[in-house]
Amino acid sequence: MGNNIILEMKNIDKRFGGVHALDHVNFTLKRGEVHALVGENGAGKSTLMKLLIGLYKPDSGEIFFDGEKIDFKSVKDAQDIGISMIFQEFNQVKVMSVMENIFLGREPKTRSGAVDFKKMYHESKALLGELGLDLDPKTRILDLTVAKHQLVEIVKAISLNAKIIIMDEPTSALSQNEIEYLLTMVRALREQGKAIVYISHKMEEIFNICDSVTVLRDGKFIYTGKVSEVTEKDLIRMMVDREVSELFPKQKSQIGEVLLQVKNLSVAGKFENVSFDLRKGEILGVAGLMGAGRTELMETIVGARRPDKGEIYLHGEKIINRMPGDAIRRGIAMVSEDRKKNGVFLKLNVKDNILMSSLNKCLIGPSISRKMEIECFDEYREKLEIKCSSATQICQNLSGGNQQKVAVSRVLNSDPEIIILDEPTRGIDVKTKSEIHRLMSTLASTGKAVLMVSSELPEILGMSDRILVLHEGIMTGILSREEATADKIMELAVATNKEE
Amino acid sequence: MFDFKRFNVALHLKNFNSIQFINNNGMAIAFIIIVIFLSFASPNFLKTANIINILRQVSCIGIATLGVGILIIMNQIDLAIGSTFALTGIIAGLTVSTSAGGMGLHPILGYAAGIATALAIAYLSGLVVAKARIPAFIVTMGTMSIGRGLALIFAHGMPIGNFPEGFTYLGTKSLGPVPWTIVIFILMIAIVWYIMEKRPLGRYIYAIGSNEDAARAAGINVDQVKLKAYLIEGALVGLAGTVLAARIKSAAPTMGIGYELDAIAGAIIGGVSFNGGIGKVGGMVLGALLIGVINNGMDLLGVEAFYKQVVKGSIIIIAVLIDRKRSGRA
Repeated sequence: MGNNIILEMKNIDKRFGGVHALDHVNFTLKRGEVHALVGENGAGKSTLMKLLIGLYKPDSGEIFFDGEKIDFKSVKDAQDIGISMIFQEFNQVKVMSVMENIFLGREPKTRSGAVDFKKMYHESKALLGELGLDLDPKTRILDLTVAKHQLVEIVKAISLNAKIIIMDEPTSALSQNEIEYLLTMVRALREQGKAIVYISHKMEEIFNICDSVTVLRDGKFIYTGKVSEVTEKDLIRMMVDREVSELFPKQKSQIGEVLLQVKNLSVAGKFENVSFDLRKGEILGVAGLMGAGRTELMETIVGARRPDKGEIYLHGEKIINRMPGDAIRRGIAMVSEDRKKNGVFLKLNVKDNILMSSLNKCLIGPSISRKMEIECFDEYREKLEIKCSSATQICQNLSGGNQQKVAVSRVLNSDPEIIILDEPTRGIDVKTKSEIHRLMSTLASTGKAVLMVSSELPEILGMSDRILVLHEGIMTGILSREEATADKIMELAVATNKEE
Repeated sequence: MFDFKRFNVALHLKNFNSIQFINNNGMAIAFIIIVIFLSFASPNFLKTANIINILRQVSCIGIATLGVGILIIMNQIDLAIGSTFALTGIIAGLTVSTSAGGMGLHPILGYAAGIATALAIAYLSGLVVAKARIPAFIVTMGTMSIGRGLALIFAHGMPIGNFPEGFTYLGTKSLGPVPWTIVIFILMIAIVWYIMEKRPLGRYIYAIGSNEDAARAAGINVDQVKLKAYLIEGALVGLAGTVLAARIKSAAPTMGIGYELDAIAGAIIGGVSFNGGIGKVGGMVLGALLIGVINNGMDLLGVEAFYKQVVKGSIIIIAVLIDRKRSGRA
């Protein structure tokens, strides 16, 4: 029995700055099994796997492969030993052919040192055939569907003689037919004795093809066992069950008239027919799993994306935001999810960041008044307790929490009526987190409306007056604060009810 | 324990600042060292006449440096500066020239025509860069060729001369002891400083250079700001090209070859980050002066023209290396 174990990860610990990403996690994998790895967004699944393939190094803990202790220095080391990961975003050279991608970096050579395309072609063809794939190795990746991209990645993993194949949300971009095909292939791999780690949110698939399951929550190991011994409800409960004590208690606020109405809003491939109202003084939480279309919905409301269908009404009047600037002028401002990508200007100083969306406030005649700039800066430094050495400190040198406060300050400084916060506390420390929660509460009680996207259920449950849940772009429900529980939200987010 | 930690933080901050001081002022220090070296190496270097001469030579390229500096801060570029110099010179020249092909119009119309020409080229570049989102490097490589070609076409491949005195006045006469070209340069420095430091447009330019996605999300009309920045640059290059024609009293379609190199080098040496978002007007001016001093110094020391190219090229690479190191540290 013991020799059936191919991989053991023991007491794996990993921190990113102040965030404890993995807290002494254990993980065991057997030959010829499909092992589901589940947990909420940010539970540590991807981090654990990235440690396994040598992309990160654990702070402490040991990894045994076939009973031998291993210590990878790079992804190549992991590949050589037989561990391959199929990423969510594929690392493929799109303009090259299938066979070139399969043999990328280890092309067969002729005697003169040129690439032996003939050999490459025949070997690729054989590999594809092994998995019953009818695909010309000379086709460019570009011309294939997303599902086929994934299959090519799997073929590549097999050609690398992988003994362990890690699949991270492999079906998230696939249609029903393609999913069937992929699952058939996973079964075929299992027959060959490969061990497969299957990261997924989709309960159906887990119960359909997985043998074992491991649950992580907040970087902690929660459960491991046979899939046949648990129910869907058990899994959901283990994924979300958690204390809600650390959070800032929400203040009661007066909920007033409707400010924003969204009607049948759709963006093809992202979300469909989403409708809701947002009232003065209300915090509307938006829950859902990764890829549910939450961020895209917010971006459409502020005009960073164009809707294909549907209308938005502000104070009962129809509005069209062509770009975020339009939304800001109308009093709708958004703090984006990825502050490094589009939330803060890292090379600019704190003061310029805070003022960027509302420079006109500091104009005297045609010129920016330095005095008024400093007044604005002081106001927000005090209000949000931003820790910086001076107004001219460059944002790059601030901590993540303080950068987030700067991004929030910029948005608030544009005097919005409606504030959209996309993952407002992701990756920031507990103290800043509770400060941001307090701020949200204050904003709502002063009559602003807040739309908050969050993947953290305690945050959603603790802060929201109502909760809108999306599942793969479809609104599966709106829960009131009273009726909402973690289990209910999770059920709507994985849409177990809908499938039946 | 607590005190120890604080001490460490203080030490760290202190270190950081001294490194930053050298980084931020490295160019000024290099400038001073070069000036001291040249004043010993050549007795003529520090004479008033030579200094005025350097400033005069620097003025036109310096104005273009300000223009392209704005674009580089915005994480864009203009490679068409040299050919725009030629085309504006030719168009301005044809407008005022009293010889056969010229129109012999009023000098003010000459300046207007020159600047309008450069504005048109910059507008074309800016429009394609902003609206079609094609990299500025490619677009302005195109306008570079278009500009040079048009200059050759309009001038029939020949230099143009016979400018009226009213036209050459700004290029050749002085305001008291200070040549007009220098006065114009100083005026442009003031205007660009005002735009970059005091107008919202300047902040938006920095913001786009720092992070274009964030600029859009912050509500900045990115396309419009890009277009405006190109137009400002166009106006500056047009003015510089026309003044240059007025200074040398002729315009040739082959004028200004390699000027984009000098202008971009001046901005980069002056601390403008090639990755955008960082750079000050004062630095650009110092960078342009450094290029001028090095050119002049090599003349005085009798360095052959061919070697000057090699030296300038090397300086650009060194300046970018320093920039890379600086941004890597931050």
